Amino acid sequence: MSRKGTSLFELMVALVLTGLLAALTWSILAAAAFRLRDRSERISMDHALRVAAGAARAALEPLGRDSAAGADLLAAEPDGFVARATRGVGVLCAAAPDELSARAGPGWWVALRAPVAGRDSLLVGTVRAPWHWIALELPADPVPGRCPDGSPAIRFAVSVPPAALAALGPGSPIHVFEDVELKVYTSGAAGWVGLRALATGESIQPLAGPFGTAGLQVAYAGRSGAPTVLPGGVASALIRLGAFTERAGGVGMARLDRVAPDSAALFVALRNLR
Amino acid sequence: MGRSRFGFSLLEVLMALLVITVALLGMAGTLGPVARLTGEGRARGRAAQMLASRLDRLRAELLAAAPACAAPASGSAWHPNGFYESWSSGALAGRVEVSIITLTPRPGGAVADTIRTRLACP
Repeated sequence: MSRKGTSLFELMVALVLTGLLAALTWSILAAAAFRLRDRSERISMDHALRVAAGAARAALEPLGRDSAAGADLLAAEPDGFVARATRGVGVLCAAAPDELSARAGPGWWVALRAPVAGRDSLLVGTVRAPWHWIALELPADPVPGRCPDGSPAIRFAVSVPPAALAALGPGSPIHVFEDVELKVYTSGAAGWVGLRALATGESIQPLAGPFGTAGLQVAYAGRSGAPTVLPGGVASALIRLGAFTERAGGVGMARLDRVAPDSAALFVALRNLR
Repeated sequence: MGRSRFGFSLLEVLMALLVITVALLGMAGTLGPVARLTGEGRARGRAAQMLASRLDRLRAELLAAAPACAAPASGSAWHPNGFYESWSSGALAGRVEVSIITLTPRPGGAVADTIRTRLACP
C-alpha cells in the first residue's frame, strides 16, 4: 500500500520545528523593528534640534547695531528673542527725497519674497560720511522702474530725511527687513519652537519640536563676555535646546517604553558689531 | 493502481519554511548597518555644530579684546556622549589664524574633523 499521509509523530515534530523557527524569527524581527523605530524617533528628535538650532543661528548671526538705526536685536528674553530679519538685499542706483531705486535683476536684487508695505521696513547704508544705516518705513509696495542708466530697477516710495539723503546715493546697500520673534511656546504638554512676523499680528507658527516647556533657553552676553539683558548691548548668545522623542509607546513589535530626551547647545556671536 | 502525488510532502514544506526564515533573518540583518550609518550622520552633525560654536566663541573673544588683535588662548574640552574638541590660534597681521579639531566617537575608533580658518580682528 502506498503512503497516503504523515504519522502523528511526524506531524508533531514538524509543528515543534515550525514553532521554534517562528519564535526565533519573531524575536529577531521584533528586536530589529524596535531598533528601527527607536532610531527613527531619535532621527526626528535630532532633526528638530537641528532645525531649531539652525533657525536661531540664522536669526542671530547677521545681527548688529548702528549709531543711527539702533540695534537689530529688539528684545532679549530668556526663552526667545525679537530681531530684525532680512528679507531682501540690493544696491541703490538712485536716491531722491521721496523715492529710492534699487537695481533689479539677478545678481543685483536677492530676496526671499517681495517686499510688503506695512510689514517690512528698509535699512539703507550711507556711501559718504557719516557711515551708518538709516531705517525707513515702507508705506507702499515697491513698483518696477528704471535706473538713470536705463537698467531695470525696483522703486521704493519712501520719505527720506534731507540730512540723510546727502549721504545716500548710487552704491548704497539696501536691506528689506521685518521684525520676527523666535521663542518656545506650549501646546498640549510639550513646548515647540516657533516663529512669527510681528507686523502681521499672526499667531506663532511651529518650527520644530517637541521640546520641553523650557526647551529653549538663551543666555546673552555683552562685548566683554559679561551677562546682559539689554538688547543693544548683546554681542553673543548661548542657546540651550532640550527636545524629546515625539511618540513613546508605539504598537506591536515597534513598542517603545519611554520618551527619550536629547539636548544641544550652540554659541552664536553677532557678526555686525563694531 | 497507484495514487498520483497531488501536493507537497511535509519535508518540502519544512524546507520551504527554513528558506523563508533565513531570507527574513537576512533582511533583518541589513537594518543594522542602516542604523549605524544614520547614527554616524547624527554624530557628525553634532560635531559640525560644535565646530561652529567654537568658531563663534573665538570671534567673541576677539571682539572682547578689541582694539588689540590678540590671539585667543588655546584649549580643549570634553563634551557629553564622548565628543572632544581642541583649538589653537595665532596672530597674523590684523588677523588670527585658528585651528579646531573635533573627535566624534564611533564604534571602532573616533573620527577627527579639522577646520583651519582666519578671523579678521574687529
